[in-house]
Amino acid sequence: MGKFLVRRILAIPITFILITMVLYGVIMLAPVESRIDLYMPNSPKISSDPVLMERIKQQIIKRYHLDEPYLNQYVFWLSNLLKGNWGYSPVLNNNVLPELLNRTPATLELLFYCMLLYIPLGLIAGVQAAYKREKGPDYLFRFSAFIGAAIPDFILSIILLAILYVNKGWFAPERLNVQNNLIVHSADFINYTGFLTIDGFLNQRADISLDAFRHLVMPVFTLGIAQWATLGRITRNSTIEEMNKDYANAARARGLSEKQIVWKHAFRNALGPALNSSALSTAMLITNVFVVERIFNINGISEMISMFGPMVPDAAAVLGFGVYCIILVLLLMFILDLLQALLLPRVREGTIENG
Amino acid sequence: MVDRLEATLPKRKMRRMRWQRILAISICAFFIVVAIAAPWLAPAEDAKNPSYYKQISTSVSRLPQPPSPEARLGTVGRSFDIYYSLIWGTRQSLIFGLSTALLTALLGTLIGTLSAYMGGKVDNIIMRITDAFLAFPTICAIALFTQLQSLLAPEQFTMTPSVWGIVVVAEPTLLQQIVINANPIVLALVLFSWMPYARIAHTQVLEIKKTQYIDAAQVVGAKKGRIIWRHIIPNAITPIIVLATRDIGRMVTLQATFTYIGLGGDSAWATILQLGSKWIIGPGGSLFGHWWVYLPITLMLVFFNFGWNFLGDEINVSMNPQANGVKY
Repeated sequence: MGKFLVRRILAIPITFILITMVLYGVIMLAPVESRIDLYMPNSPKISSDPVLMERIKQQIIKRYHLDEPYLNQYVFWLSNLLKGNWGYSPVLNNNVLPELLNRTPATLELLFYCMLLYIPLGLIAGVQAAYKREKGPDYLFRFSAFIGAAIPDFILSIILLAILYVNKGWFAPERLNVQNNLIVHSADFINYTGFLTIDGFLNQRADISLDAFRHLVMPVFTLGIAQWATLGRITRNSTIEEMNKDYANAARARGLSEKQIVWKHAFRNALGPALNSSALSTAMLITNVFVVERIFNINGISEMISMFGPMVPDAAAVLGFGVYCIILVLLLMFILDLLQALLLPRVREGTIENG
Repeated sequence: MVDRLEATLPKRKMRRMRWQRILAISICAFFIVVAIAAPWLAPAEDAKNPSYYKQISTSVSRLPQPPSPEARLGTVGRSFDIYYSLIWGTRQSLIFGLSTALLTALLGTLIGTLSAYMGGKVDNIIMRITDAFLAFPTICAIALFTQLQSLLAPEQFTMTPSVWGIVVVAEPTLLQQIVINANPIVLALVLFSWMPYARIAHTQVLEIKKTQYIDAAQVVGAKKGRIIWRHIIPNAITPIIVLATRDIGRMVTLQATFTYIGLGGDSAWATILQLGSKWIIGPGGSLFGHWWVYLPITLMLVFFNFGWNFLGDEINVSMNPQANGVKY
């Protein structure tokens, strides 16, 4: 387990550096002036005087190495990032990092409940379908997985909104209803975690928690269904593969029931490919999270890129957003690796090098 | 259990595969025919330079109109003809899907093949970069390129007043010109989704490199380029074709999604859906009150995605009998 995890941990900074290099390289294509915002002091008053503004800009270019070769600029920018200086966004009229951090809990809450549901349900459905393969439950699973994966998120969300929100009124978009939103933003309400579903209970306001759950149902379902389908299909296929292997036949010869073989042996070995593919598609998951956030009007991280229209230049915000997303993806990948290390016998005991 | 399964499977699978193949091919053929026949199915006003949208009247009423002789599938917004956009949107989506999937596949295959063929340290580094790219969400790439386009907007070049009042005129470089003129969505999708192709090509080539006929070609004195082009790529190409076929549907869906949430892109289908989005969830939430606003286009999108995914599966099964139908 140690070796496996160390290897995965070592890959994280390498990935981070490579991707940030690409990000900065792309932004380098733009003229120097557009990168000034990365180092702009957060005080809008400066911009009132154009001559003074111009002088400040020239100073920033000199002082922050903006006219130097790529590698110098990149290293300087990266060290600034690590110091917590993520630049000033003219669109948001604030520093980028605090704006990102403010919006994180909403995104993480959505992501957390989605993963809490789709990982166990996907694994169970996949294994059950493999156990009952070519029978009713298997066909049911394959049909629903096919539908779940083929309908685009935004179309599913339209249908859900029409039926469950407008027609039935059971669930709703956004994070909270209007009254509760006022309460949450008042001084009495203490933000412990930023997760409204948990903070409600901690503030002795169970109704707020319930309301937050009510608003989470549709986004979590929309987001989860495609993930569930993909994970389930991979689990099903790798479980079937495992069940055709020699050890499974040996277990059959010893007289173990098919159910025991599936759940005790095949399932554990099938976990590897399933979790591995989940880890690989984390980036896609994050993309889907942002799409769902936009559709259901949740003020998460994706607000950073929807605030500026297509023609408003804001290099600091887009770079900050990119870097933040990569950190999020790497973190999630690491959690999935950790899960794999904890659950997989071969990885746990260190008998294989790479899961 | 195993015996019984093997005895019953082949016959049933043969039957299942056949209707699936017919379905897959006919769905894809339908889209291709509609795309080609667009000018006859929905005549454009300006035949040489057809637009993806048509207004059937000058009325500015935002009320959607039900199907009528002028607009076979009704109108939405300021009397935009849905049928017209549906037909021309098919052509647009097909062109978009084919071109992006092809470009992505070419780029990925090239990178993977070269990397595997070179081997050693270069291979290691390129594969590390591939893994790193896999951690980059598409939505960030799209945001990045749409931003880059606005950062490169013309006014950034023509007039740059400096401290001393001198106007500096800068010319955009070739790379900058490409970014300015390209569709940011295409750029983002091609540059940030080649990784699966590179990985597949990489493993395929490594396997093929071990086979004897490559040794034989080297002994005969074939050049590197010839070995890659004549021997390695043709043998490694099946899984790449499968992936590219599925990607046609995926790319179009992604384009429509980003257009719908307003992150750029110009999918005609999604634009019409966006125009009618207020009416999808009609008064009182009745789903079928204004069905023409969303149902036809939604079905086109879903079937487009279906069809190409299906076709990818079928190619996979027919080229690779061991895939057994279980590898989706």
